[in-house]
Amino acid sequence: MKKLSFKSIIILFSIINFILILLNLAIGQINMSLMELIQGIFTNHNPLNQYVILNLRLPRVLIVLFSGIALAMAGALLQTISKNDLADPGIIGINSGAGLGVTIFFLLFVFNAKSFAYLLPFIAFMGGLVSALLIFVLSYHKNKGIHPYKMILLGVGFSMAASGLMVLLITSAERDQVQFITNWLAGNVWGGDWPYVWVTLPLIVLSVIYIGFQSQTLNIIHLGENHAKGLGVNMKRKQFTYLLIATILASVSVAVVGNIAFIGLLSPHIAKQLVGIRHQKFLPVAGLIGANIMLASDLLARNLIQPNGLPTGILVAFIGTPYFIYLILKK
Amino acid sequence: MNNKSFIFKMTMMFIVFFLSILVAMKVGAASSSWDSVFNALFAKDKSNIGLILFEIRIPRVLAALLVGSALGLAGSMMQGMTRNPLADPGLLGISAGAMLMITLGQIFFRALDFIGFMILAFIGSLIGVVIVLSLSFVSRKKLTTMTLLLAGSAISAMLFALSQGFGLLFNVSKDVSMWTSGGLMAMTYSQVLLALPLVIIALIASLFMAKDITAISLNEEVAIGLGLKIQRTKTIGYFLIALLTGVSVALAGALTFVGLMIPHLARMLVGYDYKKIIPASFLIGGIFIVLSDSLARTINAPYETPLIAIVSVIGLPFFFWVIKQKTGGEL
Repeated sequence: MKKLSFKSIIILFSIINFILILLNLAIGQINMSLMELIQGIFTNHNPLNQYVILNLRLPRVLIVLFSGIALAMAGALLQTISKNDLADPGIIGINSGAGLGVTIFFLLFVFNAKSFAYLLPFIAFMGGLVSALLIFVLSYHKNKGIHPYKMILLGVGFSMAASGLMVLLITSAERDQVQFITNWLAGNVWGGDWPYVWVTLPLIVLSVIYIGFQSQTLNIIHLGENHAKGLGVNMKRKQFTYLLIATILASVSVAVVGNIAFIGLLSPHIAKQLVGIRHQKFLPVAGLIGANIMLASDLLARNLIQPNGLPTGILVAFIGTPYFIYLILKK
Repeated sequence: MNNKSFIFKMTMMFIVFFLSILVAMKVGAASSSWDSVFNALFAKDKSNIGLILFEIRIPRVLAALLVGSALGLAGSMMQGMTRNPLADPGLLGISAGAMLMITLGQIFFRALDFIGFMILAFIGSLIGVVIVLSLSFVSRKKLTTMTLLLAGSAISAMLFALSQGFGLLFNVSKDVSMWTSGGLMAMTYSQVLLALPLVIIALIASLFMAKDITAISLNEEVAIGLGLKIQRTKTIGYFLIALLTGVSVALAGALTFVGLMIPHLARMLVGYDYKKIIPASFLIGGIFIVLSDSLARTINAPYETPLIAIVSVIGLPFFFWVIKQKTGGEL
């Protein structure tokens, strides 16, 4: 597969990304030509088009794009620290932990959309963190660090039960919020609005920049305990830091796009196949692939059924599962 | 463990079994006294409360028993035949297969009666079984506990996503979610009478196979050496697992963790002989779902709490405990 150079792969995926962004902006209940789209973005020639693009579609595209990047990065980090190619924030239970946090917050406080938007990512992060810590502590071995198998097993069990607990809490208290939670569980992008963009983007961008600077250390962690010691890297502390960053990335994105699995599993994987296992190379490619899968899924999800569309997470699962099974069988 | 203590334990289980039936009869949205429970059971009581008990609560309790017993039985056979302590029809995607067929039934055969849906659920379970088994045939290595679980959860996710997707596409998601989260609402005598013979037949058949399952669970090579017809036992066994899962999904929707948990409890009580594990799982499963369903009816009366939520919340600590037990060298 290493026929294409790193540069050309980046360029290729960026072009695909750009095309998908344009398609997402142009296609929907109101379809526009490329000309109309460009006019709608830069002029107020057609107020309706302009409103649709700038207030409805652009924020959603940004949310979807950055969630894709964030979930891919979170998956890559989890795979590196657990030394397990099957790790993914969705499978490992960080997503459902975040969802559980959001649910509990819903029930304890009055739902006020305006202030809620700004609080949401932090609440989700708290929930995600609790589940990440729980899994970390339970799968931690004094001498060996994280026990990869245990981590995955615990995660699978935890994510199932957390979903059950969410339903339990919701149905026992807020009967009118059931719809929101079922949508969340199915991975329905609902935070496609400017306030959500302003809250989530900085967190994601900062985390991604930090990971970029950490590429070399991640390579060392990937080599294992002995190399890390020899090169003066504090393995345990780094493992913990990266788990924290992965939790931030995953929680913040699932807070606005719902429970979406597989992106964090597939993207790093495909990226490693294309450009090898050095973090400097595969992290940016993984981010682009994650963004691509999310944008493509959202485009299909919004347009397969009018007017309400399908949850984006369902399409991601459709795309992701066959690959996942292929992966398991190949191991 | 000798036969005397086994008979004593089974007697105790029977007593608990009947006590839980009585408790389940008494509690619920409409309060009733012990008098009215006995009247409804043994005398034709024509008062209001008597009618509620006789027409609504008794069939529901019976259905709960059947669902629990079926899942306990299916789980114990599965764990025995795969020698995998985490095997469970819910976790491995067999229930999800049944759910998918029920969804398709809601779309294309709306006029179907309960028998039709039961057959569809059975076909769906068979599809799930075939997928899981083909995974273990395709991969050249022995499937480890973890690989099987991960593959199962991916298959589950895909099949559920398919159900949700179809449900939303064809506007039947309300009916489908009634099936999944409705638990045991609106059970009738005719439904119970359809399911009862199937579960009893499966119980008798599995008791006949108990010796072979014990041999397989201890050591497959030795079992083959003893001249047991392993392949035949497994084929019939998986067929029964599909049947039992289909019946339970048709009655109560897809429940996880039950099939996982019950056989472990049974093994703790009666040891490693499937002649004893099978009847014990049957009883304990029945007790567990009857009590869980009583909880589902009372925790937030007069509203129903989804049974699946209660079951997965109770099941999680158990799942963790099993992992703790088994993360010796086995995983």
